[in-house]
Amino acid sequence: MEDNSPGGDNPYQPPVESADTFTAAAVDDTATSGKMQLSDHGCIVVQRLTRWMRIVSVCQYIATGLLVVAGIFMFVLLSKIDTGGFAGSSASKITIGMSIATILLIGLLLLMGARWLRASANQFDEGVLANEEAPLAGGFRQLRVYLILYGIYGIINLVMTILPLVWSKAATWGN
Amino acid sequence: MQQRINFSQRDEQKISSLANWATLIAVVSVVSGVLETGTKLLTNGGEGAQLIGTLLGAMLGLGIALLLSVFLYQAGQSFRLMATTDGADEHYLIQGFDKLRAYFMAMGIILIIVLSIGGLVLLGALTCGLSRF
Repeated sequence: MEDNSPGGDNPYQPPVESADTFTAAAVDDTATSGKMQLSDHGCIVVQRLTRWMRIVSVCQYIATGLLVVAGIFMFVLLSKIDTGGFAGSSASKITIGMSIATILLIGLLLLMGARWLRASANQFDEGVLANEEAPLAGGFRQLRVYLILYGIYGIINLVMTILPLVWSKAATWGN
Repeated sequence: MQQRINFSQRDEQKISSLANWATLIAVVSVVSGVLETGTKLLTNGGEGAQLIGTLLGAMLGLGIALLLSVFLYQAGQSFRLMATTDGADEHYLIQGFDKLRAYFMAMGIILIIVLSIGGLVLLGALTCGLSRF
């Protein structure tokens, strides 16, 4: 009797696994494909999320604009110190200069964050509308960059909060 | 029916990384909030209404930081579960999105209030400053 089981003696038996199958499995870890179908509740949640992401993004653009106006105002103030129109010393000049630099840095951070947040919201929407994982994954990547940006800012902020405390304690112990 | 969402292995790693950053931001925000509140309370030399104002401001700031951190932490945990487990991906995805929506909603409302106040202050400063020169 002929053996028809997989891997048996029958030469006409189709292979259980082909080379193509193995290749596809090996390549699969880098590719996102396929259709997904979120429930109606899921679609509503994503729509609400992206709406708020866009609102925060617009707020960040407005904040950047306000910071630029504040920076220009401070620059005008600095030029008045230069021309002697304002009773300021070189110390106040340095303070205002540092403030302008900080304002510009925060403005840049807000601008970059707003762009990434908006891109993330667009991709989440696209993923849900097209029922595809790839745009959704793109949205997660953009959101990750946004979070990394704010994570680094948060750490710097924390260090700036801790440092004066440490210095004041060190000065107390020194005395 | 809960279905699995077929993210690639690389994307699942990125989502796990996103969850790590979300957790880090939540922890850093809480620590910063506690430190700033403590510093304000310890270094405040005011009395009466000024002290009450400082206390309320510090508590409000800490409350907002805690609220945002909780939402972001929960969103991160849901996304981590989606990336690291199979079977209920859609459930965790929607749960994560819902918490993220709460985070951005709270942040949006706070930003709108802060920008309104900041805009008015800037307008006042510009008016006073320009009239001075």
